[in-house]
Order: sequence, then C-alpha cells, then structure tokens
Amino acid sequence: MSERIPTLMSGVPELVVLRLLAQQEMYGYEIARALKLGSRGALDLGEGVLYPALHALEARGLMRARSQRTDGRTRIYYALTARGRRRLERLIENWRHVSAGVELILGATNHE
Amino acid sequence: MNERRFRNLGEALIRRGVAVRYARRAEIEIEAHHRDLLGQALARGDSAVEARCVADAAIGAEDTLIDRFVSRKELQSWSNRFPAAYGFAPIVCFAASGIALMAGAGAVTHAIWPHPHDVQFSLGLVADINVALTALFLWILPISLAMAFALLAYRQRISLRWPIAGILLLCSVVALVNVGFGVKGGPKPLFLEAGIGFGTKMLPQELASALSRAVPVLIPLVWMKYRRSVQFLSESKPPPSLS
Repeated sequence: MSERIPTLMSGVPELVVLRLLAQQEMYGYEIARALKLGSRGALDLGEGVLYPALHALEARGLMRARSQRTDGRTRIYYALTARGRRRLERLIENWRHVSAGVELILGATNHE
Repeated sequence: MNERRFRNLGEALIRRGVAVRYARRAEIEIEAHHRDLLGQALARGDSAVEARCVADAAIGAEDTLIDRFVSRKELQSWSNRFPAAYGFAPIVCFAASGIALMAGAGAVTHAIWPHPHDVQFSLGLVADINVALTALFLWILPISLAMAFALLAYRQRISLRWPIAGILLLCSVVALVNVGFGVKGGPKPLFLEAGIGFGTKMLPQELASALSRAVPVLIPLVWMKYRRSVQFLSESKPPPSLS
C-alpha cells in the first residue's frame, strides 16, 4: 500500500466528489465506493473525511442535498448545483495545469 | 461503534458547535453507511463479529470523526460563532415586532375607520382595548419571544449565559414599558401610544414584574438543559464489558 501524503491530497476530495456528482446524484456510501473502485483503491478518502467534506460543499452552495426513504432507511442524496459545475470546471482546469507542470518536472529529472 | 453511539454522535456534534441540520444529517448518514458496510462484509462471507469490526474500523473513532466536522468552519452554527447575539437579539426582536404590531394596528384602524373624528367609543370598549393591548405587548409578545429564544438556545445546546442575559434584559425593559390606547375628546382622533419610563419609586414592582415574565421561561430552560446534559453524559459512557 502506498504512503498517503496529506499535503498532496489537499483539494483532491473536493475535485473528485464534484466530478462524480456531475454524472449523477449519489449518497455517501455510493460516493465512497465509487471513489475507491473508480481510482482502483488509490483514492480511499475514508468516511470520516467524506461526510464533513460533503456537508461543507453543500454549505458552500456547490451541491444540494435531499433525503429519500428507501427500504426503511433514510438516504441523503447529493447533486451538483450550477455553482458546483462552474467550480468543477475551474478545479479540473487548475488540476490539469498543475499536474502537467509536475509531470514536466518529473520527466526532466528522470532524464538527468 | 454501536447504534447508541450514532444517536450520541449528533448530540456530541451539536455540543461542539456544529449546526443542528448538519449534526442530525451526519447521524443519519453515518449510521446508514455503517449498515451498508456491515451488509457488504456479511455478503462477502465475514462473520457478524468480523463484519462489525470491519465497519467500525472504516468509520473510525468517534472523537476523530467529531474533530473533522468541528474543524470545518462552514458547518459551525451561527450561535456558536456569535453567542453574544443571544444577549441582544430578544430585545431587538421585541422592539421590531412591537413597532410592526403598532404600525399594523394603526393601518387596520385606519382601514376600518377612515374618519376617526366621527367615531364614538364607549369608555368600556376603550378600557377593554387597553387591557388587550397591555396583554399583547407587555405579556404575550415578550414571553413568546423569550420562549422562542430559549427553545432555540436549548436546541443548539449552547451555554446558557447569553440566552439568560438576553431574556433578563428583555423582561427588564418590558417591565418599564407602558402602552395605551384611547380616544381624545372633541375632533381629535383615536390614538395608540407606547412609552418607556423608569422610576426608583416603582423599582420593586418593576423588578417583580420583570421576574414574573422571566422566571416561567428560565426555569424550564435550565431544567431541560440540565436533564439533557445528564442524559448525554450517561449515554456517552461506554457499554459495560461482556467479559
């Protein structure tokens, strides 16, 4: 298992959660599983990180929540708002810019 | 983490300043998530004990979970950020709603009697209106506001220092206020007035008047808060070991 470096993960939960919710509305457990499976285990945010992050994103107006009762239990579904979509676009752009820069540096140092 | 802990999770979050809606939602979501993890582990063939261990480990320690919620500024309740608001909001709300009620009463009076000069009121009716206005402005409105703020403070589990100060301030000011309704003689119209006065001669009566409004609100508030704290502390104790 690779070592997790918290400073490198800064901003990543917001980006990946918004990206998942851009496709469809989901509840917490679905998001956690989708992140784990979709990243092949590289992104295992942990439930203790996921829920505070989801609530904070909703508090900032980037997503909205609705509760639905299914099979005797209440599910809270999250969906992206228009503001969340705009934020996602900016985050993706920033991420690509930064990761391209990091790749260039890593590539250059590999050739030395 | 057992089911009782989930009930206490929301309570613990509120006590640490997380807004009630996020705390209650966290309670629901994390309990549902725990059940999903249990179901997943059982479906994989784990025993009940193993499944519970896996689910508990995934959710993590309750204290860590609470710290992560508390560290998010966006999730903090306004009462936790500005507790002093409870000291001033009741009196501000009383003034605002008092002015709004008087303006409303004036508008209604004008709509019913567009020519108040011609209106004839019996002395008995004027006295009845005065009693009703006194009851509304000096008792029903302030006590309702004090109860609303007391319930809000209880719901948000904040320290009672500021809410008690706010309720006492409201009731003290209201004890000094008087309102009146009357009909001036001759061509002068109806009038509705309110005033505030302070005199040392009446101080004992005014103090008694303030306390008669504040005490019926504060005693249940303090009692409810005490009961809830005792219940929370008893539920927070770890369950006795089976061994």
